[in-house]
Amino acid sequence: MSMVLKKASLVTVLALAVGTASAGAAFAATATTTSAVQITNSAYIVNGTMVSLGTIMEKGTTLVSLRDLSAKLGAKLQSAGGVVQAKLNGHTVELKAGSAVLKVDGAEHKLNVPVKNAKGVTYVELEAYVEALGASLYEDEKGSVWIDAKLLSNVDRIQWVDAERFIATQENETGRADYLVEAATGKYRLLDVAADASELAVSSDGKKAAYTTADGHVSVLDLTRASRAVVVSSDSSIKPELVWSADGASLYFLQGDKGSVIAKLDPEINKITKILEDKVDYKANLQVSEDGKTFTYTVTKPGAVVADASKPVEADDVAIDMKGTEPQIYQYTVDPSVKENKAVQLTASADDKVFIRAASDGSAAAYVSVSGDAAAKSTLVKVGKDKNVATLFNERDVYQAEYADGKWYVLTEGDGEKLFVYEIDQATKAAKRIYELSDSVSEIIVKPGAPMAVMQDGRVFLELNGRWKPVSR
Amino acid sequence: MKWFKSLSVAALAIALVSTSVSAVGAASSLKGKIVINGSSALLPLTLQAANEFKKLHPKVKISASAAGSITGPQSVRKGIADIGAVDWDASQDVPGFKKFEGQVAHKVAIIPFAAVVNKNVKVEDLTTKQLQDIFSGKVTNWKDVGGDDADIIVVNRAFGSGTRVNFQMKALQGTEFISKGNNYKEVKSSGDMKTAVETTPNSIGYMDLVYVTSNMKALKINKVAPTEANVVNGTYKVWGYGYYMTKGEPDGATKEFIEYIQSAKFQNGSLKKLKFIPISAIK
Repeated sequence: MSMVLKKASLVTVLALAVGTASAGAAFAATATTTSAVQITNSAYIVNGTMVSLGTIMEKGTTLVSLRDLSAKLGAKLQSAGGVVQAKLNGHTVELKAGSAVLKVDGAEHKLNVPVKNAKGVTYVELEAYVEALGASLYEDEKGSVWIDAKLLSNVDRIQWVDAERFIATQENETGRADYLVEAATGKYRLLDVAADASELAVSSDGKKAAYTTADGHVSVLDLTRASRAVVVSSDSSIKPELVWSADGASLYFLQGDKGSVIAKLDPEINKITKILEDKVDYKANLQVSEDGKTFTYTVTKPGAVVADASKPVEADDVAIDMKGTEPQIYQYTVDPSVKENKAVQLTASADDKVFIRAASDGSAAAYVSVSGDAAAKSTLVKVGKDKNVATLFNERDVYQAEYADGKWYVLTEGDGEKLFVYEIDQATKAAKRIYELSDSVSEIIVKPGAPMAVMQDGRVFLELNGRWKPVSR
Repeated sequence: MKWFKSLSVAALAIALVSTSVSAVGAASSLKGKIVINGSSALLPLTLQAANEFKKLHPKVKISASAAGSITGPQSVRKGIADIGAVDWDASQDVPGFKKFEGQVAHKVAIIPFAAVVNKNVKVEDLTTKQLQDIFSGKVTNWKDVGGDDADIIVVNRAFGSGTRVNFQMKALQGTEFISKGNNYKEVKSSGDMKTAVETTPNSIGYMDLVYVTSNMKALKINKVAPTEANVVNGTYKVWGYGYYMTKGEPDGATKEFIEYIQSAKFQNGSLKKLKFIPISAIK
């Protein structure tokens, strides 16, 4: 199968697998009674496919047929002198019938229930065996158990590349790793990204990712094939934000440690052009319209401080005025016919503005408006070029808002124990609740055509036909 | 009701622990207001972190300002700021400033500093002793340190500057500056220092490494070039930590924000992008 699945086929493949899973969710299918033990054929979802595995329940622990599970997982089995060796993910697991010890890469692990032989079949503790192989196991709210041979672990965040692939990022003390993951299979490969790279800016067609490094250089990575990142600009100025043009041909960026300048980089010819240099500092959240002419961004004004340095330090002669330090939305449209063309301030309100998203034609910008009053609901609002602010959604307190294909997806407060996700039509403002999620969900990640993704307790899940498939562990 | 049940009691216990940890970090729960004032050098870093943090915790309002390092711990002591951003550890005595009692210092970044000279100066390298002699006024002519026969113009930052405190502590090992004379000039900001050194022949000054331009020359100190690599490998000694000061141990949103700016994600990503060095780079 080609790496790039069409959305339809992705959903179909998983729908088949998951569809059967829900039918077998009750676990037990057929049971065979022997003299001592009851062997049950139970439904599991292994590597995304519904399978039946022989299991035994003993002392409240599930034992699974070693042969069945190993075959489905893709673990290689070898047997010599009564010792069975299983290999997967670079791990070697050794076990022996009657023994309560699992040897994992040479280290001994105690089992609750000894390895059992029943009717010539070896049974081993399901969870311990899966963990020993470096595989992962998850039981969802419907009782289905997902077992995956190789899921990425410790994913800190993801972003969709296109409808079929996402980039998963792991952070650790020494640096980070970015993986390109196929949503349908969970297969992943490490991307060639410098250790000191900024977050990746992915072009809207999903073909390229760009990043800056500590030396200010800009690199571009071809996501259509395994390749090395190419430095497209060795300009050393600080670039706090990078954004692709709609056609993926050029990059726009904020320049300077205070993000004062909007500039354009043509990667092909390594040429930088300044678009706007108006000495206004702390621009952020830069977005560029489809025609490359309208730039929407926020400006944050630092507070005003009055301090008299001639007074003794102990006098603490300092006063701070934080009035007007809330971010405001600005727009600048390139138009050579306008003399002394300036950026236009669209908002002036004292609310915090988060998750800002400009319309692709630059005609408006929407954002989550957070009131200074912590008890007030945060709402999704829209501001037009005429500076009029209109509410898009205010039914519930909004925690996060994402936009895809004319629709907003907002993560909101729920009923105390759950969070809700609403889908809001940008044009009609019609809102419908589409998910109820655990209150430990921290983020939703959307992309046109792709399944809904959520981060929960450091794990990534994709929604497929009413189920949440774990795609990281 | 939880979304996912775990199979075993052990796994359930882990799940519950991780839930309670992430509940602090969950998009929804955290509320509060954080006021940050102090170092100008740290302000871009603070505002970048605030912009990212608000996407995780939209209900936390963060306001930031800058008017020089010393105003950071002063604002905290006065109770008008939750965080004082300062280019030295203000919980300790430093040249010119007594420690701020009861304040806790949180490292947020490493800031390298460079001694810089006007482009007409032929000297490439100075020892600590030579720097001490120049900045204290004992050596006044470039010919005494291997350069041309020309008066040295010393450009200094005004009292209260974090860069000045660091340069005095790390490059001059605590010796005093001259404070007057025809060949002495005092400037109020990094921007003024840049202009002064770029435009004044025979001048010497100092600044954050990130502000060094191609229109001036950064000196080697004790034969070591001021580069990020030399800071990290321990050979270049003229650097300091940027700190966030709090009144006692922080809690709530303030604690969470400090943890965010110290997180691997921010330190290895945005912080490096803004040309600071992560605190973990030096053990």
